[in-house]
Amino acid sequence: MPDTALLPRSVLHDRLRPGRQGAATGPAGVVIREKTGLTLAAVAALRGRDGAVIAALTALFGVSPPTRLRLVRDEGLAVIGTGPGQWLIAVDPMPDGSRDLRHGDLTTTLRDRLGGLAAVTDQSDAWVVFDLAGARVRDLLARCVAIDLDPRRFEPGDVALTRAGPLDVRLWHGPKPGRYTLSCFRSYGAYLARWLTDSALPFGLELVETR
Amino acid sequence: MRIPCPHCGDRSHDEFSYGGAADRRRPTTADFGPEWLDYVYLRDNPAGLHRELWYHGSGCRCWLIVERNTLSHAITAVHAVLPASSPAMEDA
Ligand SMILES: [Zn+2]
Repeated sequence: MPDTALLPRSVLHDRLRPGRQGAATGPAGVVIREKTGLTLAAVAALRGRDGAVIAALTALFGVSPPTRLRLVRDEGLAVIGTGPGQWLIAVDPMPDGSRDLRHGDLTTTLRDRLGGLAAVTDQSDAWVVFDLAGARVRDLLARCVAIDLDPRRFEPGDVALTRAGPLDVRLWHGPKPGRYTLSCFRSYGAYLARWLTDSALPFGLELVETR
Repeated sequence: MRIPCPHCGDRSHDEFSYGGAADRRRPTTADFGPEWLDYVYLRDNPAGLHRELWYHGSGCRCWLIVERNTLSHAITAVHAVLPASSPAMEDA
């Protein structure tokens, strides 16, 4: 039997120059790191089944899924509200980069638990996800998205579905204050990365190499 | 123009697609005639308050009913076409 397993590879592989760039004095104002190796699954409750889906997800993960555009995190797992009756489940990779299999194959497990209640789709290789940090991170985001980023309005744990120029993006804050996660569909990942890295140059950029 | 989405908050109108007047009803007759002609082709062009559909495609991907003044673009009410999720809907 030939081994047909496909290895996921970052869309940024060989496309961007990692390291310290732009304004060179002082520490980098913005640190950008691509998050790879995430396991992602989308859950959309069938009409009128929201309550049952919330109960099933709570039983499975031990955290109660947000009913607004918020996220909850628990030990390497995030449940992200992405609209009424819709959630994205994100599981961090293991420290060695391999998939965290504590819930088995995530999509299969969710389909087993949510049969007849929700539509479940594997999204693991569908999104490019950037971790954004640094003292000037909100100045960088202000160049990309037209939402109020003041932490009193966009609090840690808040999620926004919006636009960055022509792209639909998902942005969430934290839960650690001042840390943001920005994602878009994979095929636009290189475009968004170029925009982010160019926009970050005046603040001093540290682009962390993607494995 | 900014539309206050009940799910996402205040957003620029370019995140939305316009879906026409909110209160038009599809004719019940199967015969093509004046009713269908009116439904398919004829649009009112009110000066003032207008109830209309907008789709928040770059946000929550929900259809909204927006009450907008066509003279000033002032928006007086926005609500989702489908009621907000609630466990109470479970038995419906
Ligand atoms: Zn919305």
